[in-house]
Amino acid sequence: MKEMLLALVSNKVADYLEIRVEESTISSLRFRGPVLEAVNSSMQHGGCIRALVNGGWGFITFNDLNNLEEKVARAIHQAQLVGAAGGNGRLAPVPVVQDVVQVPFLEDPRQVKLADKVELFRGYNEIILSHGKQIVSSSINYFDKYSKIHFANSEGTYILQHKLDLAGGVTAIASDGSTTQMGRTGFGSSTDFGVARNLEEKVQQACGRAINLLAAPSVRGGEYTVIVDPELAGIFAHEAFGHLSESDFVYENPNLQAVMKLGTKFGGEFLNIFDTGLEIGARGYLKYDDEGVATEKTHLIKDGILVGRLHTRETAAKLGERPTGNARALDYTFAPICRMRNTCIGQGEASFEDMLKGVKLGVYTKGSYGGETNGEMFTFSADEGYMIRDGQLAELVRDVNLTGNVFTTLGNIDMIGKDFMPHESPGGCGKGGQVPLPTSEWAPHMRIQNVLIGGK
Amino acid sequence: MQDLIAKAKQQAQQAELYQITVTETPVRYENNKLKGIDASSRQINALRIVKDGKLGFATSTGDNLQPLLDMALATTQFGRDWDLPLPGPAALPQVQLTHPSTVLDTDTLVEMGEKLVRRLGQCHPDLLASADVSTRQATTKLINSQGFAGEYSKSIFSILGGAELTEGKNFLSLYAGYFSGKLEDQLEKTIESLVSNYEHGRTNVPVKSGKYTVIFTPQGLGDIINPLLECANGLAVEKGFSPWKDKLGEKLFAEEISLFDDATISFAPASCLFDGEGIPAQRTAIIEKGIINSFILNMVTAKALGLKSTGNGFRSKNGELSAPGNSNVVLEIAGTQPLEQLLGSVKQGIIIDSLMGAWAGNPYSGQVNGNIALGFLVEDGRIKGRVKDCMVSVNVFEAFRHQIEGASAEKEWAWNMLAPHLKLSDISISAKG
Repeated sequence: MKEMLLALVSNKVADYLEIRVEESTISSLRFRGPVLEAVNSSMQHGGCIRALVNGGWGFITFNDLNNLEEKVARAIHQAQLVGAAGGNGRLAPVPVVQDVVQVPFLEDPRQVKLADKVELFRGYNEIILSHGKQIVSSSINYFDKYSKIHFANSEGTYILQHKLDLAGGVTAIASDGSTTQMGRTGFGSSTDFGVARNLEEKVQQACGRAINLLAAPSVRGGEYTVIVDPELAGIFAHEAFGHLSESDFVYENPNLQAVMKLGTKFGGEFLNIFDTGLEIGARGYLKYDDEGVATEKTHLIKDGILVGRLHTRETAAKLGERPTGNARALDYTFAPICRMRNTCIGQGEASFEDMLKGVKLGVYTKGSYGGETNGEMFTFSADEGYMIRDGQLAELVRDVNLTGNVFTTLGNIDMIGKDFMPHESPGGCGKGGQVPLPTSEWAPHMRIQNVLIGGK
Repeated sequence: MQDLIAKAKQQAQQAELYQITVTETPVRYENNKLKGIDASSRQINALRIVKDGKLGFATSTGDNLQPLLDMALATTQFGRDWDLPLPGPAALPQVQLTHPSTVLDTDTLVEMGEKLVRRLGQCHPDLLASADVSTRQATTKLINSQGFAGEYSKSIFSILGGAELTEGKNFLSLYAGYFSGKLEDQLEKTIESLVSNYEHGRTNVPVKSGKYTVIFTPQGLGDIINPLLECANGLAVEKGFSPWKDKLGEKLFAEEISLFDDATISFAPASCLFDGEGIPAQRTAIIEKGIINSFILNMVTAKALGLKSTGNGFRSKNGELSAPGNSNVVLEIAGTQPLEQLLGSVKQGIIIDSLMGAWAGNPYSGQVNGNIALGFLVEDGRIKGRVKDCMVSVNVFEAFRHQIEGASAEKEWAWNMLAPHLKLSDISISAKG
C-alpha cells in the first residue's frame, strides 16, 4: 500500500497532493427499554484525494478504490479551476514523516465477544428497569470503531494509523405522567473497553437524578454567580474558547485578528486553557492529524494571557505561525479542517468550599447535555442545578441553560478548582457538517460571576 | 442485488437489501473567495434479515456486498424479535423528485457562489461571505424477499450562504439557504435574506428582561417545533416517555394549529416514493386542529402500538434504521394575515430568526431555552435593531395552547420544514443587567 500510494501522489502537476485510504469496522448496540433494539455490524472503506494547484483546492471522495490515477487527475483538474479563479491557499512546512502507529490497547473491544458486550449492557439496563415505578424506560447506546488509515502526500510523508474510538451512554428515563426527566452517565476511550465496565453505581445514581428532577422546579431566569462542575467546565472550555481558537475562523479576518492578538489578556492569572493530542486513552488522543502533522500540547491561554491557537497547515502559513496538528477529518468523506482534540482548563488552587463561600445567590450546575457557540456567544445546558443560598447548597432545580459572551465571561472566572479531572463522554463535536468528531474536555470545578441563565 | 436476497433466503426466512448511491459536487466559497471544488460519490448497502423470528442487520460501503450476509447472520442471535412480514409490492404515490433545473455544471455553481459573495461584499468592506452551492443526485433501491422491488432517483439543489462581520468584540453571524428538488429563485432569496438581516442587525439595541410578543421566523421556528416532533415520534411513544403516549384524539393545543409530516410534496427536500422499509410515501396529520391525530411510525413502533406504519422508517446516513424520522414537516396555522400586517401590529416585541443551544434541553418537557443568536427588537411595527446577550424561554406545550396571536400568510421552507412566521404572546426574555 505504502509504495502504491506514495507513487500515486508523486510527480504530478500539483503543488501539493495527498491521499487518505480508510478501512473501518464498527459494531454497535442499542437498548430502548427492555428491548435490545439493534446489534449492528458495519464495514466502511473508501478514500479521498486533496490537491492544491496555484492556491486552489480540489477534493474528491469515493468508495471505489479502482482507477485512482483517474481520481487524482480529477482532483487536480478541480484544483486548477479554483487556482485559475485566484486561489490563495498555501501550506506551512512540516517534517516529512514515515510511521506506523498502533493502538496502545488496555482492553481491545474486538477481543470481547459480542455476547459479553450485550450481557454487560443488559446488566445496566436491568438496574434501570428494576429501579422502581417512576423509572419508565431506559436508553443505552454503545459503539466501537476500529480504523486503519493510510495517509500519503507528495512531500513523501506516509503514515499508517490504527485508531480506536469507543463510547456509550446509559440513560434512565423517569416520568410522573405529566413530565419526563432523564439522568445519564457516559464513557469513552481511544484504548480501553474497560471504561464500559463497573458502571453499576453510576447507573444507580443516574436513576436517582432522573427521579429527583421530576419534582424539581425550573430555575428562575436571571444573572447568577455560577459554580460549574468539571464536566461543564470542560464543555465551557470547548464551546466558549476552543472554537474561537480554531484559526480557520481567524486567519482571513483582520478584525478578529486584532481582537485575538497573541499577548492579549483574557482572564485572571490563574486561568490556563490548552488543547492536547497527547493524552493516551482520551477520545481526543491523536498521534498525527489528518495532514500527517504530529500533535502536541498547544497552550491557548497561559496565566490569563492569549499565547496560542489551533492550526492546520494552511492557517499556520497564512498567520505566520507554527502548525499544531489540529487538521482533522471525520472520515474519508471529508477534507480535514481545524478542530480541537482534548481541550482542558488547567488546574487551579481553590477548593469547592472556597467557591461556595460568600455566594449570596448562585447556582451549582452539574453535567451537560451539550452546548453551542457562534464565536462571540456560547450556551450550554446543565443536567441539573442546585441553588446556592448564603454560601450553602440548597434545592435542586432543572431546565438550567447558561449563556454568555466569550470575552466577558473569561474575565468573570474568579476561581479555579484544584480538582482537575479527566472526563470522557459519548457524542462529539460538530463543525462544517463533520459530526460527531471524537473530542475530550478535561477540567476542574470553576466559579464564574454574572452568568445569564434562561427561564421565567 | 437479487442474488444476495436469493442467497439470504437459503439461510433466513426474510431478507431485505437497501442501497443508495449518491454523487455530489459542492462548490465552496470562503471569506469572499472561491476556496475549493469537491466531488463525492458513495454507495451504502444495508442488509436486514429475519432468521428464526430474530432480526439481523449489517451495512457496508461501495460494492462490498459479499460480507453482508455473514455479518447480518452473526447479529441475529442478539436481534430483536420480529414476526412481521416485510412489505410486498405496493402502488407508489405520484411524487416528482427530479427536475432538469437541478442538473448544473460546475461553472454555473461557481457563478452562483460568486454572485452571492459579490452582493454581500457590497454591504460592508469587512464582511466575510461564504457559500456552499451544490447539486446532488441520489438513487435509492430497495428489494425484499416478499416481492417489493422499488427504485427512485432524486436530485437536490442546495445553497447555503453565510456572512460574518466582526467589529471589535461584536460579531454578526448570518446564514440562510435552501434545499430543493427544483431550481427557482433560491439564490435570490438567500441573498435577500442575508442582506435584509445584515441591514437590521447592524445596530444593537438594548433589551430588558420581561414578557414580550415574539414573532418566530420560519427559520427560528425549528427549535420550537422540535418538542412536538419528538413527542409524536413512535419510539418515544412506544417506550412510554412521550407525554402524548395515551393522548391520541385529545385536544392539547389551540384549534388553529395543524402539523403534518408529508413525504409526497413534489420537489420538496425530504420527499420520496417509499421509506427505508418499502412503505409508500404519505402525508400524515400529526396534529389536526389542535387534536393529536397520529404518531410518526416505522414498522416496528407501529407493530408495538397496534397501529400501521406511517411510512417514516427512514435510514441514517450509514443506512441504519433506528427511530422513526420525519420527512417534510408542514406547520399550518388557521387565520393568517400578510406578514407586513402581522409585524405592523406589534407595539413592542422581538423577532427571533435563530436560536443557539436551544436543542440541548429535554424535549418531552416542552421547555425550550435558547440564546437569541439573531433577533430584532420591534417597536410600533418597525424593526429597531438587533438584540443580543439574552435568552428566550418558552414552554411550547403552553404556548401552543393559549399564546398564539397569529401567523403570516407567507410560508417559507426552512430546511425540511414549511412554516409561516408565528406570533406568540407573553414570552419570557432574560437579559443581562
